[in-house]
Amino acid sequence: MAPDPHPPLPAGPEPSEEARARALAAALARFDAAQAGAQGFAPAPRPRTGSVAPRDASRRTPSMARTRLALAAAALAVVVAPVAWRITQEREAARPAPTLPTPEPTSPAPEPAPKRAPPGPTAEAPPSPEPAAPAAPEGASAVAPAPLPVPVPSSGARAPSAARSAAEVAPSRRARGPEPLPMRPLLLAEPARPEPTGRDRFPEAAPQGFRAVREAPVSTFSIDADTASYAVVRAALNRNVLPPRGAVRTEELINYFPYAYPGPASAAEPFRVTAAVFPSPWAEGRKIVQIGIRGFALAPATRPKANLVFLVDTSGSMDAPNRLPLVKQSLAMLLTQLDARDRVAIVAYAGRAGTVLEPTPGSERGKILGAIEGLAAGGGTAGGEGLRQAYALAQQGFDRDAVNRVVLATDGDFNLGVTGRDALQGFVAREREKGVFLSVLGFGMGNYNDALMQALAQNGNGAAAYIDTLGEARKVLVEEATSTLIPIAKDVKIQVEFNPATVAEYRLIGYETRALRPDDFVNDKVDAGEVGSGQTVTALYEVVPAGGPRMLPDLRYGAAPPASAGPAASAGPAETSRDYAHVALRYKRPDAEASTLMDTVIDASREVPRFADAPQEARFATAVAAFGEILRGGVHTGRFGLDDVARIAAAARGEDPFGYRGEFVQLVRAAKTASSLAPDPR
Amino acid sequence: MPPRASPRDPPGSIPPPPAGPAPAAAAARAVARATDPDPDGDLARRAASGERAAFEALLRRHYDRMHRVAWRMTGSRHDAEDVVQEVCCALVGRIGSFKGEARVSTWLVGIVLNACRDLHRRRTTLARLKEGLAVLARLGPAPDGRDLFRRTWLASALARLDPALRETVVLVVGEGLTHAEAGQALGVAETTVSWRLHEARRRLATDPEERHGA
Repeated sequence: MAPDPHPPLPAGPEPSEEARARALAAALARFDAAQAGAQGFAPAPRPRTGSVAPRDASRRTPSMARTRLALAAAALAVVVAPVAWRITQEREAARPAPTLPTPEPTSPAPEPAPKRAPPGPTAEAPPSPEPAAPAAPEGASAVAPAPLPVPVPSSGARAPSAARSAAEVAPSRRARGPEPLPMRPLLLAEPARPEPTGRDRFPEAAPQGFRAVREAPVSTFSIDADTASYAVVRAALNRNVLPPRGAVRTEELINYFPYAYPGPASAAEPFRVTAAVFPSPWAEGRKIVQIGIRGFALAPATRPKANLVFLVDTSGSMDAPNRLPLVKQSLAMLLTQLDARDRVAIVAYAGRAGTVLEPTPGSERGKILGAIEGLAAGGGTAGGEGLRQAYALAQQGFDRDAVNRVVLATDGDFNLGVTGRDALQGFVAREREKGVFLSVLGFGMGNYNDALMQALAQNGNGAAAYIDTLGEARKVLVEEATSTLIPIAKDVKIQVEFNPATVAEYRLIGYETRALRPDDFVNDKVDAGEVGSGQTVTALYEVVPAGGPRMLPDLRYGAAPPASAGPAASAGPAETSRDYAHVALRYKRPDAEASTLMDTVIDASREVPRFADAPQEARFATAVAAFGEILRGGVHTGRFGLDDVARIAAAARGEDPFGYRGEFVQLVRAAKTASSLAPDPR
Repeated sequence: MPPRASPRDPPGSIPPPPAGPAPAAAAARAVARATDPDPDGDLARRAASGERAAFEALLRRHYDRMHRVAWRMTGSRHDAEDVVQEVCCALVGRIGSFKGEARVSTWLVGIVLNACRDLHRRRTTLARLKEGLAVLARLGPAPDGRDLFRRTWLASALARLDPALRETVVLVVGEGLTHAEAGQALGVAETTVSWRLHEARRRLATDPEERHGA
């Protein structure tokens, strides 16, 4: 059993006799006064309690003392005003954002201050040397319209507003407790909510090492067409900070870019595999085996209709300009790609989850845009409940002929209700059985829960993207809208078997979070990634050819490996071939339960002798892979540096119609001078 | 032994075991409380009708409990004494409105929590500024670093929770109230109390630095 989650509470001091006696005496004195004053003891309704207070002589004493203290402090404040102001500024900077009082003890997730704050500080003045002002409301409670005895010049206009706001606040305060003191931080405007830092969470995955072909000839992994990692890396480098290692997933960096692989001939076979073998640019004697896959591209006019539910996180943490406002703009952009065939619904979740828009045809842009515009940030993040409602809405409008998809836009900082990754993962995994896909769009930095996003996307038959700028939003939701929304295959797995006659060791670059067991390949129950219309996916292996410089020396003891005696000692025709590898690919059509097998052989004819002769797409992919490896520590890239990466990438730029590859070269240069730890925001 | 709620279960699906002293004893107490009439009900009625001796007896009976709750909420003996004194005085006006919908102890503790909340609000921006200035002007005493009780409180789990969760923990764990009673005292639903406890447990279980923001 888990240990008691509640350690015993601290016992506290015994109440002192003196305090007890004082309290009893004061209470009994009031009791007597009330008895004497009133006829009988009518039950006083709650709001009257405060108004009874000033009339009572014994109640006046504490507030009189406070008034005196306030006046004295105010008088002194005039003398030391500049010093005190500076101290206040420092205190304000040191203290986290203050929460203003809101009379809502019954709500389980107290609405944070930002909702009420904007009206407040604008009514009051911007911060100024006003230590006297807060002293005024203190005195104003017992001595109501007492003018400030301290004629600080700028306070003249402020005092009436202070008294007015004090009067406004006072009635609601009176209903509360015995001492109605109005509370407005006149001096301090609500500071802009600072972006959180240091709470990003990335999935843990150590880079894979070399494996010997004779021990593990088969490498199996699930396709990953997510692009989130590249955008996270870019966002970090744009702030001149190196991304944390856990944030770098090399396969996502490689797959961010569209590659001009030859496409499949027809929709009957939705994939076409391209391969190449060439020398590795960073290690003498090793080679790179590139496997590229291109999915069939549906023409936008003939794409199936889409039944979309936008699930938007509108919690308080989404309040920054690169979060909820960017979400709204992204969704508005996506809307331009939809038409009357499609259905759009919106669910927002914060504190409580709610349906903001019922399924509406995509042609009613005004109505949908209106609903999007109406989203406002505030409250806790009931992510689990939001997911549940969104999936329920998707089920409600489920259409067998359409693509049914939930598009989740969040920073992943779930903190209400079901928040555990396992629970949410289990939920989306079950929902995907019903045929609803999931796209996860991540926003924000500092509390970005990448691990959760990946878990949701992987288990929910979908892809994850990270949107840091409008440009990225445009790429994911406009330029590549069809690939983002319309899947052409799900549960796509790859199994590569290397030929021990030609390959001694291999290392898959990236895909650590997508590794599968060999028997998972044929097992249709095991979930894998999905590929969208027209998408390209690339996997790179770094191999040590037979006879090349080994990373794993032969065993000294134990049975001699069969391949060590040379090809003559092995039996069977397959071993005498000079093929490098056999690539098997399994995929399911979006609505199918059984998978289909496709295979290709990578033979010696795909090899080129020099790196410069390799196809341009392969060279660019290699440059990106090297970049990813260097960012993760460069354990295998030797002395290959960022300059080399930039050189190769620039040479392989090609047409680059959208400028993505040029941007990559800029990022490589930025990485050279980025710092390893972000400075704290001041 | 009731099933213990794991982090995977949605809060409230499995009622959390009553923590604090041995679960069996607490459960027995809860059952007993549900069936026993309120021992203070009679006293409260007499105090409401103007009997001074009854009022004084009521205060004396509950003073310790109110002080303990106030101390656990505020962490300062000085504040706790102030709060309890204010509540005692306020009770003069409030006793008449007590209708017996809850036990007297529950109702009193609710008033104390309200007062602690008010104190916290008053204290947050204004008083700190004032205290700072007062210390600067030698008008007030500097905080006493030798207060061991305060140090204990700061080191305990209570200081790490935010006030809403702290209230719930103080009531259910500290005073042994049932969730329903705690809900009455706080003016929230019983399921809210269960949820808050679950949340407090979760926050205390995870790294104290890792506090999710809203």
